Amino acid sequence: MSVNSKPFQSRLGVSRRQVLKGLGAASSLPLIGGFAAPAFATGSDGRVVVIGGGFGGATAAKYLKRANPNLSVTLVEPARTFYTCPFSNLFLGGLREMSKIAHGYDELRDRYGVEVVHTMAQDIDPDGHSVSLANGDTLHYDKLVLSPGIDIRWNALEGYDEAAAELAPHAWKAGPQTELLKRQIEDMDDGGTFVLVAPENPFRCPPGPYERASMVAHYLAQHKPSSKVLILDAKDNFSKQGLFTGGWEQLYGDSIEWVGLSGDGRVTRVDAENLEVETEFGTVHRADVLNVVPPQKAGWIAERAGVTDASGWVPVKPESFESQQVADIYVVGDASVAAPMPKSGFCANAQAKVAAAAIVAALRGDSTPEPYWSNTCYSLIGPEYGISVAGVYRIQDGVIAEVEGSGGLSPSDASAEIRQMEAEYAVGWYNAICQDTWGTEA
Amino acid sequence: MNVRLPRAATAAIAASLLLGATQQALADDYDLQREVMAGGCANCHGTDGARAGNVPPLAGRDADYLEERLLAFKRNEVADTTIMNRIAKGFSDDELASLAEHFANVEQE
Amino acid sequence: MPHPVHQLTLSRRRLLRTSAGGLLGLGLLGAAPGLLFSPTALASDAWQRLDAAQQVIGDATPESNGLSLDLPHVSEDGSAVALTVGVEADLDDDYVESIHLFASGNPNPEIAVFHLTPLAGKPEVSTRVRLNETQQVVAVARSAEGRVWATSREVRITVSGCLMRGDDVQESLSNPRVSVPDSFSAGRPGEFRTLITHPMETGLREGDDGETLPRHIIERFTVSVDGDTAFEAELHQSVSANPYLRFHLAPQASGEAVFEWHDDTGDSARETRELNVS
Repeated sequence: MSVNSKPFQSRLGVSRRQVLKGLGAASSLPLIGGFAAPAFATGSDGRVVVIGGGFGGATAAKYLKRANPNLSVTLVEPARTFYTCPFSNLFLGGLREMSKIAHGYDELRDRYGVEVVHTMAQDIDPDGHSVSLANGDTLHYDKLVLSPGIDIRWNALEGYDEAAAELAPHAWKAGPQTELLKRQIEDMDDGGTFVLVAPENPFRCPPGPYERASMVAHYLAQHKPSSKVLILDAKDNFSKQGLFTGGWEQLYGDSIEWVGLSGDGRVTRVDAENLEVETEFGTVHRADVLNVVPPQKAGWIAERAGVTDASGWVPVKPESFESQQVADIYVVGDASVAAPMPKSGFCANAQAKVAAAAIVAALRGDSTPEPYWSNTCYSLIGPEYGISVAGVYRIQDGVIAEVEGSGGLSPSDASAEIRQMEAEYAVGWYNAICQDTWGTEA
Repeated sequence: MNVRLPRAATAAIAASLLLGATQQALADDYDLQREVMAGGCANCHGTDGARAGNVPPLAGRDADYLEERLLAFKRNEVADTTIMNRIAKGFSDDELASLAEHFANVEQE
Repeated sequence: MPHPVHQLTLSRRRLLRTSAGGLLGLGLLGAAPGLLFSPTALASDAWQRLDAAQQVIGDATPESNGLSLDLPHVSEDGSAVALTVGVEADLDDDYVESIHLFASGNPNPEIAVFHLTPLAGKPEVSTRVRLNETQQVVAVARSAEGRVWATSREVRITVSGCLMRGDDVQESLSNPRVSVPDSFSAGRPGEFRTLITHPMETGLREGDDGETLPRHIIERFTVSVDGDTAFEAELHQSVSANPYLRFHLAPQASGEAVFEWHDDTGDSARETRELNVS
């Protein structure tokens, strides 16, 4: 599978950019033979609806339009401002304002011609190829992309329901929950304990809880230095574990304690009123601030669409991310089962590009392009201490697999300069991926 | 048989032929397979590799230079590399050459 | 814990699934290859191809309904895959005598054998197992009256680059933990959980010096109530480090439960708990 064909300039000398902008506004196209070249009928090559305006959905919408401006692409996203989970931990650590993790949809509308509808998708009729919206409208599609992220599995931990999340936030969807948790941390007395309950696999953002612990420890070291962070984990191994443990020792001494599964770290019951949790073997821990990262599942619209399986996640065909269960529905991002790709914003963006290409090809009657994915997860242990894990993925023997010899972790013995460079590149990555996804500059 | 068409009809036919040509050019302008292969690069280098930041831009740079650089990353020959060696090892030498060519010639938005 | 397989109503969108690969489920799925629960995924005949399982089955014809084996479809870490196995069939006066687990793709396929007694009440056991690679996990159960069940599940292991193993050396057989219900209704099963620190060294791993680390595992775990053996587990090296066991007992009267772990060096650990039966 070699990739050889060169792109060539259009014979008319009309760049793609000009044509993209010209859609829907004939005036900006050059006159040809005395006639204004007509604006192409929107949707003449097919109608695609995208549900979810996060890393997966926004990227899918943009890349569909990039590949074929003749598609009608409608993005359904209730929020007018999207707050990214990536870098929300930096807000908790006092390193970033919420406004700097906020992204809007104007670029997608204005530059790419995506129709953005700010309402909630409520139901899907896969046979009728339509989506019902909360505003009463119905959208018809040739292809549907779902990127609904995660939903919390309420009561998977005894006592952790929606009401409990207002007292012991998860902050695993960025926005009000993140701000709530930040206020609680700020209000905590010095000497208090921040308890973080970490779930078993799979869950959104494998290194996330440990970056959060790092960022909270950083904030506490600055403002409430007698305080502690306790992580109660349902796992014995976590993402970048050796790097985190080493970094914690270097930066925070013993103020972060991690209890793993085999050390009775698995929490089975939450008492949000009293900020107490109980473990498998009956140990009760009392918190001054309690952050529960609970078991998760695909965003609920996926179940409505009939694409989820017994695990609550969405199995997909690796070459296209089309649902294995329902035709013409493509599911990308955290909701999909794409292991060994982790559930990350980077992966959502990568999967969206593959799905968009598959859709463009399918609507043209072409064969599906060979997929490529990569992922880089940056974690900030401290403001100048960054670590990363990378992966490059291809299809091998019909399943997604890491390319042998590629990817891997930051070195365990890296210098302070390298740690600082990685912290800076993390910011560079964040800015670039947000520009790539929403077209916004943070 | 020679048929003389009214001027308007001739122009309309010419316009629709031109339409067809433009539409075809659109599709060919965007190399879907190569865009998929290069997709991951945008996450740090920006869409079309065109973003300037602490992560360097790629768009419009010399293809030979980009190819040499990618191969050097793959062979662990670049000092102070943080991530690019781990990424470059995920591609064959031919794929890296193709990526270099892609970004050298990419049409920026 | 792995999510149990639910019964779903048949509709245009949904799949009919039964637990333990019931015949109806297999028939439906035969018409729909490529779905998650394809015949390959269930592969009930994996136990037919595994000698160790065949030895347990003997001449009997195993029932396919009634034995449930819950495992995640995909596990990003093969070192500790959560597993729950249980018999859900009507037993009347019969009782499940043994449950055998095998990892068909591991160097040594035996995972564990659980010996149950009428005191179990609910023949369901959970543990955490090591799976070398993507493979079929096989379960065989036998009842006292000679009924046999067999089933298997495929687990895909993708060792994610995200995960890095912690290699803390802790004292073997330390920190035994036992969780028992505060009280029991006589004859009604209650859930027990146990955990103990132990490397469960397989004997296949190389240490830093290149030498093979010797096998060092807990071989036997027993629970007795007032002196009578109530539950016993034979463990092999495919049980994960720091063995975790969850099982059920239905004591008839209050008494003392004794929990013992024996490893292959002859060392042991012991815990006792009072069972409060009302």
